[in-house]
Amino acid sequence: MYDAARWNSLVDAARQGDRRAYELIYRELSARLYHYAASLVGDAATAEDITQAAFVKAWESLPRLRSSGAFIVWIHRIVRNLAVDAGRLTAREEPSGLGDGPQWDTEDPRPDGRPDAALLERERALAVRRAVAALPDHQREVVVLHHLGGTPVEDVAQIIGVPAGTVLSRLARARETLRRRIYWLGGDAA
Amino acid sequence: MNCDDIQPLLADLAVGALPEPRQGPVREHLARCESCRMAFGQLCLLGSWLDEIPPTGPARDLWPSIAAALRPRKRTLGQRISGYLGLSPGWAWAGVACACAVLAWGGLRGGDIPRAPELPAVVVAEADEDADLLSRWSAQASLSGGPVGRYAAAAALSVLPESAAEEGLE
Ligand SMILES: [Zn+2]
Repeated sequence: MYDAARWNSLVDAARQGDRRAYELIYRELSARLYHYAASLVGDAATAEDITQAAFVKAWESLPRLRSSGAFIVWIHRIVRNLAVDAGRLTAREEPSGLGDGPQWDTEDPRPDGRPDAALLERERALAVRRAVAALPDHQREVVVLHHLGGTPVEDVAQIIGVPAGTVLSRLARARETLRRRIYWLGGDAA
Repeated sequence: MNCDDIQPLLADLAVGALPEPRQGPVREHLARCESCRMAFGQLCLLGSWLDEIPPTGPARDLWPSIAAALRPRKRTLGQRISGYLGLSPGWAWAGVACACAVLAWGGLRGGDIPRAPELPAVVVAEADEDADLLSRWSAQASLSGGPVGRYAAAAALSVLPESAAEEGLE
């Protein structure tokens, strides 16, 4: 997903105290980390606090990081621990904004009366987001990290602290749950 | 294997969690069962839909608050020397080591060697500061038996068995 050499040089620069490099790291990672935090704690304000705290905490300890390549897993773990500290890791409610997606005008029939492809796509994305937000905690966490965040399975395993096989198993169970819950797939829980 | 045996394995196959030896019978069944094939297709399609959803970022830019909270990075002695000499840290330390070796050799031989130019005052002062910090940190560490200063605070914040703030750190 990332150019490893460029990424490592950014982390190295930040390690030396380069704030501009750290800002670029923030720009690249903030959405992933915020979304992950929100999916753990269930509310936007706490997720913002956790995201900010994670970046500040990572800056302080960055000079002692063993390898620049470990940064992404490491800062995700900081986010996770902060969510645990906030006592909100098991929050079940849909995080504000995460399941809603962009709003659009549904009163916009095409002249030929056929469904608009873009509209269907947005509806599908909305339904998938909502179904993800409603997943059991363990399943939602791996789906958010792996699919929405683009984090490789091995890295997800390190972030959560479980074997990679467990991550795959949770992804599979999540896939089943989502299939059952998304009505147009003909599942039994539509 | 019938459909009831196969259905629970389809999601594992879709995410790559089904071991190679168990894939054969499932794939054979899929080749001849329309219903299971459709279910498998849906599970795979769902994976690509999930991959298409971008993570939702915060509603406001958090960087200004983060930037305001970042303390200036204290440079290490090696970084300062290398900055002063215009070398990478590795070469700077190599140079320092060579200089020490030459001085020690000269001392053993008792011969005259030219006096090394003095380091500028600022480097000497910073070096003293680093040495002072190091000695204070090691003294505190030996008293507390753990990380010191703000790292200790960061470690204390974490409740998981292994602190994230300390993992991956030297
Ligand atoms: Zn079948």
